[in-house]
Amino acid sequence: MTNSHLFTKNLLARFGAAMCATIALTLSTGSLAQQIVRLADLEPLSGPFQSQGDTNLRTLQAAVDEFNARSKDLKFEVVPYDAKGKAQEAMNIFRQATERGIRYFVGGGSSAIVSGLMETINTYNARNPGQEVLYLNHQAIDPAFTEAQCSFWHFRFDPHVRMRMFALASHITRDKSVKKVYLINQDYSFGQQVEASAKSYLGAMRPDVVIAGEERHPIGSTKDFSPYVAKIKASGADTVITGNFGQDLVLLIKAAKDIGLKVKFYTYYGNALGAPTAVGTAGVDSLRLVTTWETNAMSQRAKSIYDNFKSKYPKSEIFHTGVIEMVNLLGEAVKKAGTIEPKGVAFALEGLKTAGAFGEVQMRAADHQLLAPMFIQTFEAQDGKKVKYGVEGLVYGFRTDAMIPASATEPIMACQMQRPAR
Amino acid sequence: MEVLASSLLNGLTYGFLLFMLASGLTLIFSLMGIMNFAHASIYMLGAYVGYALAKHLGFWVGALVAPALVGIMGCALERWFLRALHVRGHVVELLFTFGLALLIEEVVKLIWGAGPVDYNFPHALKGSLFELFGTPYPAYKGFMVLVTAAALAGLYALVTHTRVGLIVRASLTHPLMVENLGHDTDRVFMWVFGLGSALAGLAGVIGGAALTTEPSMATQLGTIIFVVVVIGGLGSIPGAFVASILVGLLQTLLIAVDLRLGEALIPMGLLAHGALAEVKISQLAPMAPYCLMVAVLLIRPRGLLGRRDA
Repeated sequence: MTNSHLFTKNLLARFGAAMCATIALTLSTGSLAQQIVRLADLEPLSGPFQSQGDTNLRTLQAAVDEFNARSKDLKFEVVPYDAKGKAQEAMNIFRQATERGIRYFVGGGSSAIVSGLMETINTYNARNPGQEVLYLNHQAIDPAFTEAQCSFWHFRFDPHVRMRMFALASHITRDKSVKKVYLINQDYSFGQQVEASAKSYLGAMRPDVVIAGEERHPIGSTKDFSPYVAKIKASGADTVITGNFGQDLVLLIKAAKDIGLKVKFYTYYGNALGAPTAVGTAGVDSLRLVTTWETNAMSQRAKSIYDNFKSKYPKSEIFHTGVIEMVNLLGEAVKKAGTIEPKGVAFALEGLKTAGAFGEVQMRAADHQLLAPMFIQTFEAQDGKKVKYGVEGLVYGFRTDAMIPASATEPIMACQMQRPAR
Repeated sequence: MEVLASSLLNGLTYGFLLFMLASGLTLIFSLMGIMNFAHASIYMLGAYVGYALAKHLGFWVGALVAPALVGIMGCALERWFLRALHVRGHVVELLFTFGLALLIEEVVKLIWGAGPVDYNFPHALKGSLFELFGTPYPAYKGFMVLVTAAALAGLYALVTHTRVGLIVRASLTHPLMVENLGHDTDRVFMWVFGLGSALAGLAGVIGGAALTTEPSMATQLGTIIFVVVVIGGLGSIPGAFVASILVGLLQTLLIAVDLRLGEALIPMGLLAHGALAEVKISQLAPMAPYCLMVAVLLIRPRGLLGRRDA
């Protein structure tokens, strides 16, 4: 580096410091001039999970639009990045985005990426005091992120695998027609956790239910599910439980339809990303799911986000509330903290309670896990009463069979968090 | 029994699709003496071109025209690029096809987007063909087998029973002699390359509609095809056939096995420990072709039916 370069850099640094001081001064006087917070959204915008990434990004944009419309002094700005479903790509993006001065990170894709990002952010924050960044996880639901691996710099806005499975299993307990269950999942941490939690909760709540088989297939690369569905059929199972999403769910359901497999599918993500379209009429009464999103009971805020989303993407669906709760809670936390500095915002987020999209939600302070209500739904014909809206342009939508209150799925605390000094 | 029967059928269907690709690849190998890394990308192009045509002209027109277009593209590729590179040796040709594969993937992403496109068989092929132990066999799979079998029977007849085939076979083994007899071997090579590409294009139409049409389809199937050709023996069409069916059956039948590694090894007098014993045999299915390839290379480096060493 040449001398003149160094000089400019010094000057810039001084200028930056002066700016910071000015901002700090304005903040300490309590007035909040209009501020823009940029959110780097890392999603798989290409590859087998593109549909998921696209939908998350669009939902985030709709939620941000809704927030910006009602917020005067604080605006959010979404900066999308294609993490391509690869951990290495996510690291590169993190470096780029921090160099651009972005302090808030959203999304990720799979649990593997989120795990890597959390590590990176912990290290980054330890090395750059005063420049901390915050990670807002709206989708990766590996319990470890709020348990063994929990971090002060990470917040999760979606119920994790076991919370969801607890809701699902407690509903299956009441469904007497479920006798033989087949578990088919993606062969990586998330799929393994769905499998393990299904076995443990069903074993405890419905010991009479037989696990007819359990299967893991390669994630994102299985194109032909016919050998798997042949096995499911032969096992005599009446119910399939799967955490599959995107292509892995669409192709599984298609293959099941091809051979006329008549089972109930209890899923995590059956309400979007092409799954309803793939199953069509054959899914009526058989496609079920546990979700945080419920179109039949939208609050005014949820409705305006939904309308905005649907006006742009009529064939696509919002499939969870993680993104929506995240934007709202972040906005409230900034107001409460009176700063956009991630550290202060993080402290303000802890324990924050607010009206969520479908009832009260709370960010648990001790482990940064959001407690939110969940719904068990079934695919049915749209009737304007129990099924108000069709999905993906179909005349079918989802009926809610049960609402599981946030308190019912509150997990046992298993996090020992190290907090920075305030 | 039921699982075995449907797995056999599924395995055969998959094996046929593999063979349609592997036959073209191995044909081109015997011609150029190099592995065409872009072969699976040509397969992908077949799927996308078929999709683009199907959107406007219907599935059937797309299914007929796409392989022809891709075949013509193959001819052009040989005529203006590979032929010029041939004098510089195999490594340059190899690198060229490798670069071409990457290029095609990026171009496909640019034109059709990074996600899967909605390419499906038409309604006439929905529904089932027959039932086996109460499990319906989808009509489109029957169509896949039919088309593949017809294409390959045609190829076989062409190569073994016609004058053109005679010249092609002679050009592969004795190009100089054929040239001295007054035949244009350059042109023969071009047509063979085009034919191999057209076969890949046809496989793309069928495979794209049956599985999924997306930019990673080339890489995913490409490695398997490579494995098939190596197992069968480089340059051997019958070898490619045996290997395709073998790999197809192996992958589907392993999925049907409902044992864990620990249990499966006991009859052989072996013991697996800890996490290894917990691995399900069905989880090994994706890596089975690679294990088979390593084994074949160790025991019989020229492949099952190959004539020269790999």
